[in-house]
Amino acid sequence: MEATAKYNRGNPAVKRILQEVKEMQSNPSPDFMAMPLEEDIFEWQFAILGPRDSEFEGGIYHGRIQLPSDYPFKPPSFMLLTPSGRFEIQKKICLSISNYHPEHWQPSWSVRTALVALIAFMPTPGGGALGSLDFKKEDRRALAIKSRETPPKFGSAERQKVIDEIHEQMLSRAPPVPQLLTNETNEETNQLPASDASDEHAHKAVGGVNTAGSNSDSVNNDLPRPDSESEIVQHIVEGRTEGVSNHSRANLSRENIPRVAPTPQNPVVAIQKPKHDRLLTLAAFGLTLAIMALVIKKFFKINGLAGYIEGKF
Amino acid sequence: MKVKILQWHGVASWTWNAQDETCGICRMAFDGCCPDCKFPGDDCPLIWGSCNHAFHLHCILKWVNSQTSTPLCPMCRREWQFKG
Repeated sequence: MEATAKYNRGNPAVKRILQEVKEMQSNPSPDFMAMPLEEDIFEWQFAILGPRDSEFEGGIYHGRIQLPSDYPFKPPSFMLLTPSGRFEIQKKICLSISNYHPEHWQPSWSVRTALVALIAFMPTPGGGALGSLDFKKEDRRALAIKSRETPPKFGSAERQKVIDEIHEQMLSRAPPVPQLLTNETNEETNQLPASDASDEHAHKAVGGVNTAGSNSDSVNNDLPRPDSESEIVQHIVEGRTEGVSNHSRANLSRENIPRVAPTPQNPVVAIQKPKHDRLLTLAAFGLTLAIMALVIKKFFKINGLAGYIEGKF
Repeated sequence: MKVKILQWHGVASWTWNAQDETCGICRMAFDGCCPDCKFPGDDCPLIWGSCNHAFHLHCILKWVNSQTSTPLCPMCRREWQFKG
């Protein structure tokens, strides 16, 4: 809020840019990061990740965007600061989204759409456009690895502070450069022609995917085992429980039968009569309680009915 | 149980019947106004193109007037024509 208060909020370009800053902060993207300078909201520092499945993968490329004073009705200018082998550094680049081609610009575009487009432009051929380069793949990959080590040096201390901050956050997000592919690419380049090398590169990439798939399959196979073991354990426990219950039931049934049969015949069993009498006494007592409860319920029902009649009238 | 009504206040609210909620040019809400205006409504109306995209009147006028060639819709890049 303090920083926001500095800017002239009456300017429509400033309002639009502040909206974009809020949107960028509330909805960050894993592929890029951008923020304006504190003293000049029209100058943004950004960093993009190299696009996946390309020689730029894993690289962190910094740059600067200069927004015009009548933004969004005029396009911004873009300048890369990290060597990439695709764009020259410290020189404004010619793209359909940059100020070299204002006739292609749309006011509905934003810094976010520009960065997405820039990431998409990386693997395309430069075609001799201003600020474009066409390095070899291995050189670009070497530059990608190098780009992670240190952020570029550019401009004043405040700019450098913003650049360093962005670089740290991008490092925490970015996956590392795929080293194996680098080695394979070097071997292919050393041994085979370009076209065959590219074909085999694609094939090995597919193989890599299969390997990853098999790894994931093995992981999936390992995971269910604890579940199945726990299920087996549960089954055993249930079986034991059932066995216990059955056993107890059998005991009860067996105990009941001999008590009834020998009672009238053997006088020796007469010793157990007090136990039997106790049971009968308890049963009679219970029945008495039940009868009393029923009588009380009927009494309350009569009272309730009387209350209802009184209430009705 | 009786309820006695002493007085009541009528309240009405309005909103623009547009597909989106924000202007594609200034990124302000349609129910708000463009960056140059202070109050929404009649002072800062919406306007539709033949492609059914809506913008603040001042935003699209500024964009159309700034184009040297045929102006395009900022959203779909078709040739911009005001809907009659």
